[in-house]
Amino acid sequence: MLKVSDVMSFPVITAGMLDSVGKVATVMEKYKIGGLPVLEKEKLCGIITSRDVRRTHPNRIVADAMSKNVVHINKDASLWEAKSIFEEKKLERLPVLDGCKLVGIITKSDILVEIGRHTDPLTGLKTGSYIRSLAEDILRNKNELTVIFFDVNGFGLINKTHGHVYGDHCLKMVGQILAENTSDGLYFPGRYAGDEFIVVTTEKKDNAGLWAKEIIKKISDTTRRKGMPVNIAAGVAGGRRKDVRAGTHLSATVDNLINLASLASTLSKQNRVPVTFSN
Amino acid sequence: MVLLSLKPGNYSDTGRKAQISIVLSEFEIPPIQDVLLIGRRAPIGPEAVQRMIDVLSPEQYEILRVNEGPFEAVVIRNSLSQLITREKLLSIILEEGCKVASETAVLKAQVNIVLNINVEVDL
Repeated sequence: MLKVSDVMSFPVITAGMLDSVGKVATVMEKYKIGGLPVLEKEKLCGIITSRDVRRTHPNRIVADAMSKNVVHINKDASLWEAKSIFEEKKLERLPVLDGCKLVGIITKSDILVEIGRHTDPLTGLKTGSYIRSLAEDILRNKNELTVIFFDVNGFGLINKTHGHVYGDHCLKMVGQILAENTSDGLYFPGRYAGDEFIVVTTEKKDNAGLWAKEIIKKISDTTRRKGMPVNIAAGVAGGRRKDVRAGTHLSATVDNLINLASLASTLSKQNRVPVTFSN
Repeated sequence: MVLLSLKPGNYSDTGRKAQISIVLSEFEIPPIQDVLLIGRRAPIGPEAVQRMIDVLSPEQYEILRVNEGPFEAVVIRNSLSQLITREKLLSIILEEGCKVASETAVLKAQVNIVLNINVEVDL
């Protein structure tokens, strides 16, 4: 999973409690930055922004102009956690801490740009590469990993019969249904490529298979009701190896599981069944 | 007041002269007398004043934050609060201060409290 430490800026330009506001204004202007964390004895004790500087006399010390209740984030927090803090607290920048030590700073635009890079613009789901890195994290943390691979049946024919715009609408609907049914934090959906979707979960294989069946039914029912019938086939792999085998690289294990789930989804298509489990 | 004349050699003879006047007086410690009113946009804030009194006159003053009005904080000499309650003193000072000051001001005030006590006793 992408962490705050992957995109934060460091080293951080900071201000001292006894610096003048005028000096801070000069530093902000010089480095084109809108806020500085304030340190006293290397401990984060406030943050001073360009807004604070504008409304304060330049002769004042930083301690008399800064905001004392600093919202900060741990370096190991996810980008999505950071995004929700930015939105909830209406902030523009967050100091990043490792324990009590300031190790970086992250801005809202850093987060949005990075998240944008890992979001599929059509469906709003995460990209396949992001889900792959998430799957590696699941294994790294010694959790169960199950991969579900969804493939739209006859998508080429849908595009040829109804046009690509219609096809895009179908993919959007599938993405939306996947997103709506994965808000519990157990299942993590992404668009793998074209008409293929991937979901990773820490649930066991059997549970994941049942969940996939329900999703396929929901997609079928919803799209039929909306006059755009879409049928999906799924393959399920993994969910049996709690520990990564010694000597096996995490990404190789994830690739293997994705491949097995993909092949299983092909079997589902061939056998006209909703879900097939990989052996 | 001490007037100093420039010694020969220290000035040029171009016709331009400088006159220096020096006023020597004693530095008042603490420099804030009894009460200091700190405006919200004053050149010095309560944190700076806190540090100043901590160094110059430790444990002699108390800083009270004010939520509304032109003043951000009021610094009061501790000994005054022994004669009159802090709340009463603060309300009088703020009322009078607001009449003459703006957000950018730092006002110092001298406050004299005289207690008049009349006691009747049976002869």
